[in-house]
Amino acid sequence: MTDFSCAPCPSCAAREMQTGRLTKESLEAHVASLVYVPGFSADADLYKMRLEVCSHCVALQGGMFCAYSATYVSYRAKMLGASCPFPQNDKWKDL
Amino acid sequence: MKESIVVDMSECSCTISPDIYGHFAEHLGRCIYGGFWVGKASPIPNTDGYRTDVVEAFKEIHIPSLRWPGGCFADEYHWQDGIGPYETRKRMINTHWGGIVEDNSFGTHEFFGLCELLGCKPYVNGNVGSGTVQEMSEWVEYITFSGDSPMSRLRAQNGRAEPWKLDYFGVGNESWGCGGNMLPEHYASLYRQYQTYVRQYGSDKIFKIACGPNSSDWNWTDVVMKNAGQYMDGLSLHHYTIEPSWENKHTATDFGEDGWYRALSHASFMEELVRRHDEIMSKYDPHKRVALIVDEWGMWHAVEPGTNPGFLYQQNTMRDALVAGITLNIFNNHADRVRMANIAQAVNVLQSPVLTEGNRIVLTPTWYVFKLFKDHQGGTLLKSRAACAFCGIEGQKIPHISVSASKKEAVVTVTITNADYASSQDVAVSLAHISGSIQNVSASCLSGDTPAAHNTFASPDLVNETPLVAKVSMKDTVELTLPPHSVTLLHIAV
Repeated sequence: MTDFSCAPCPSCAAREMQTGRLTKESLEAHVASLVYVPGFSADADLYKMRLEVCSHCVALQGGMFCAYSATYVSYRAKMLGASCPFPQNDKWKDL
Repeated sequence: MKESIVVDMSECSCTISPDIYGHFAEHLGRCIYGGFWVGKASPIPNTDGYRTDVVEAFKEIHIPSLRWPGGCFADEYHWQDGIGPYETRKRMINTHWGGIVEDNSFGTHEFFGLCELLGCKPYVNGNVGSGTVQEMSEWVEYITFSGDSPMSRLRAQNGRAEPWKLDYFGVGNESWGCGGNMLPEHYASLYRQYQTYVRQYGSDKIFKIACGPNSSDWNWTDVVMKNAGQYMDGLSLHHYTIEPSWENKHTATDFGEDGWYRALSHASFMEELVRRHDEIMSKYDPHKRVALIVDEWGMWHAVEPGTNPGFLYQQNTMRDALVAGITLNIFNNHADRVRMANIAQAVNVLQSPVLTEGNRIVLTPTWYVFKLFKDHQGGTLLKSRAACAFCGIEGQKIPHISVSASKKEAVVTVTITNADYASSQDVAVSLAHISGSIQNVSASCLSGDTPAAHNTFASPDLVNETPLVAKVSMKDTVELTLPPHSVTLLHIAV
């Protein structure tokens, strides 16, 4: 018989996932461990420049993620094709 | 093999409440902040702080009602935190995940302003879990009282002299869980108490909604209806579509044929949920005075990679569109009992019709389904049946086709889903007991190249509504071919 077990409510699930207490350091260590894929991953220099831009951005929350996309900047910066979502001003465009 | 749909023109049973097409905005992730609300100083185009493109997107699908502020957030929300000058509103910082700020810049005034901008009915969910009777009572007084009172004076002091119209009010949310972990007997008693003080100050009736069951908790419905049914106008129901299981969810785009059918089978379970809860409610309310309000439903996936897991941000494919289409057809066909539903959630959270990133917007396949179905709003439900084969995998078989039909003046609206992962379906749609003959027909369809097709910020138009060929083959019959994994709208003029 199909198991149609119930999900918790969205707020509770979000809160539960927030108990992991991810730190900036553990996140960056995780991203650093990702395999480099040519044509998909940003190289080390571009990655570093992007994070430098983010570190001065008003949209950076808690030093970890972008208010305009909900993504962790260290993760997004690693993707070669990603853009900066700052409204009307892609801050990664000229890097 | 040709599948067959029969729409009975002689059985006009009831009106499809527009509110079945309602939405839900909780203070969670980027639904409110970055979704509906960006603030007046934002570089993102806005109208008094409301994001213009998002507002326009929901106006286009004729949003009838909007539920706020939760969800479980409602049971820890204290409305006085969100009124008055912005600089004095309570600020809370979530230090666990990146210092996210809830600055209460979106509160009661902003919510009613949003509803006015959208042209939709407000559905406010009150706090039973951690609030008091007085707090709830004063909120209703603040919103709706037109005379002279402490709360109406406070409202005027905050810039709004006239009261607002409050259409729907929920007394607690998920009181069986995060809203207080109550037993149904206890909640029924509390409901009777709290709702007493949801006063009706003017001539406009406030439609009171009691917390209903979690999915298939039949006992909750029975106990609450038995003990408090006479004091409510609606009873809520929450059900999410999970695939394959809560512990092993995949991202929205990560599925194959098995995952496709598992999800659609789970979504189809809504039929049993609605039917059985209706049967239980009818023990105490045989004339269906009390509405079933499905105010949280939709697909729940793993979050998109690299996004804050607490934000519940997920993509949205043709699989989500089929879940929406199948579910909305079920709601239409039970419109005598289901009189409001609110997909979770409107923007950037769970199965969202709209996604935003910076100043960009994506209209998801789910948005297009709401657009295809919008002509059902306020239509007269017609009985319809599909005689069709089943598709799917062992243990997860579902009918190829789901359908619902309604009529407004001389136009019949028929919405049809084809759940087949890979095959198109030839269909004949017959209008039984038609008095004259079909005058003309038009059809449009949402399909996409693959079942996992979706729109992205880089390619926002990959999934889009397209015209579909439909021909009148007899005076009462239309024939068409449904593409695989598709949702189709048929307009038949009679």
